[in-house]
Amino acid sequence: MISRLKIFWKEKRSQAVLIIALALLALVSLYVNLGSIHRTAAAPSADGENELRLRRRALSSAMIEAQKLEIPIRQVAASRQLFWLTATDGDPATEFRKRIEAATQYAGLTLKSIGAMQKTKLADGVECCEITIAADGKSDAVLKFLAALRDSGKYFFWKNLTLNPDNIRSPQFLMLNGTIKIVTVEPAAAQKLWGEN
Amino acid sequence: MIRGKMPKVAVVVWDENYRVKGIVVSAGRGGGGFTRLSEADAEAPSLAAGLAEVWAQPEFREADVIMLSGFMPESVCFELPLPPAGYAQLNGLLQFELPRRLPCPPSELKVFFRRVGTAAVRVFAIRAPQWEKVVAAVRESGIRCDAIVHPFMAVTEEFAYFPGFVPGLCFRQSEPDKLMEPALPPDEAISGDLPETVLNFAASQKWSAALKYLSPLPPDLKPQRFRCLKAALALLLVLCLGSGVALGLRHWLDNRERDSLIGQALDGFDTALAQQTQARPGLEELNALAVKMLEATGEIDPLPGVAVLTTALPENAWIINFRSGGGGVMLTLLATGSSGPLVNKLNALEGFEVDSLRQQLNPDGAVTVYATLKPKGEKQP
Repeated sequence: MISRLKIFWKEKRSQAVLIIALALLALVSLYVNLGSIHRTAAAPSADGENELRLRRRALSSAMIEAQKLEIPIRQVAASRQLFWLTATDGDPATEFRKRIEAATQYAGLTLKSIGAMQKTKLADGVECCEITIAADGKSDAVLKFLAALRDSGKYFFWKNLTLNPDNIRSPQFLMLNGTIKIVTVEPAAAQKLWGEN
Repeated sequence: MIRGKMPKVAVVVWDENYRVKGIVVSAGRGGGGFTRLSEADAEAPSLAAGLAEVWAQPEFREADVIMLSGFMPESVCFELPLPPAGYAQLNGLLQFELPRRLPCPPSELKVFFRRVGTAAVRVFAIRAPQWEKVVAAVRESGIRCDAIVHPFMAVTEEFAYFPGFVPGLCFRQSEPDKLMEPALPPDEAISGDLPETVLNFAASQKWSAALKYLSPLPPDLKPQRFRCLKAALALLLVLCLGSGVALGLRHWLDNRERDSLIGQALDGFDTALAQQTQARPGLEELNALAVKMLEATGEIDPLPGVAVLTTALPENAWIINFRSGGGGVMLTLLATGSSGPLVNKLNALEGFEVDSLRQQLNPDGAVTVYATLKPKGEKQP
């Protein structure tokens, strides 16, 4: 075989050189082509992937921030019963006072005074309404009043409540002073918060 | 003699009567002489027939080195002293020299030459029609060979005379350091073995460098060797190029698809980011509202505290002030006698924990207890 190759080399040197040159050219071409493929394959994908990575990071951080912002919104959405919906619970200007009076009457508590309703705007369609009351009665009545008020709606909150014995010698008779608070939500705000009126 | 390991060599020689003789030899091991593998003789009505008959023997194969040599009429062979030069340069020099040496115009002749030693060229000239006859005969016989040479062109000895092959002339060196020249054979027995001479020349491979000028043959007369190797190389080349093209195409398609996918993904991200950005102000506004609403509804419910206290206090203690607000319950209690049971009860209150506790001993012996309760589980500020 080697001798044949030697003969081939001697006899067909030009053809052999041509074939070797072509083979080398093909190899070089292949190598360059592969190298080019490797480089060009790496470059656009690297740019694209970098871009994708940046966008993904930006979107991820935006979503994380959005999720943080949504936490209190979801809490509010999950506790709709804590808010006075004017569409279903009525106008607080009249109903708030009526409910308090009804509760004191039901509990047998003597309502000594009930103040005007104070409004504080939290946002468009959302207000904080407060009424200050003073009443007295036996401790059982006070407890009954507190329970009645809570049962009539979970949206009644005591901003503050002070209970004092009316007479130190009869501690079962209590004087009650406190501010009851509700957070009212107009239908438009309810729509915005919970997607319904 | 042939030295070293050599391939098989086949020579076919003929004389003026078309007696054709073919010999196949291989070099012996360790640089020994030829090992004759096969011999064939033929006597045919024509050169072509004789060549074909010899070539039909199974030992004659195209893969071997094949050289044809024999009687060629209307030819002349001589040597010229020329300076050392390459074959292309020698060819140019001969264009000037030959018209003076040849018996007829060079245009009517086919001229072949090879370098002999360092400062001489051996020339063989034959009338073109005669050469064409030889070539036609070889073609007709079906032989494809490496070279067709006149025996004198193969001579490497100092003199040679091939009775029956080259009638009337011998090729000899008349004096030392003189060139070889055709001459009438001397009386003494000067002879040469034609097959041996041609074998030596064919096996020496010295002719391969001069082949273009020694024996230029038409392509159809040249042996086709290494056909499989060439085909394999061509196939490999085609495969290499094909695979390169396929790889390039695949790469291009992949790149395009990847670019498209990346573009789609980027568009998707852009859309999602735009939606997030667009929804952000509304979300922030809603968040602020929700925070305010949660803060507004974060008051403590006093009922559990009042209920627990009314039942849990000891007999000697009662509440003189209960105040809820600010996330806690502030109590002022009065205890007659020891305040220990009261404090213990406060510490054990269900749902509350004591945030602060202060006691004051009154002049009448009673104890006023100031306590702040927080719902259990609520973090201390």
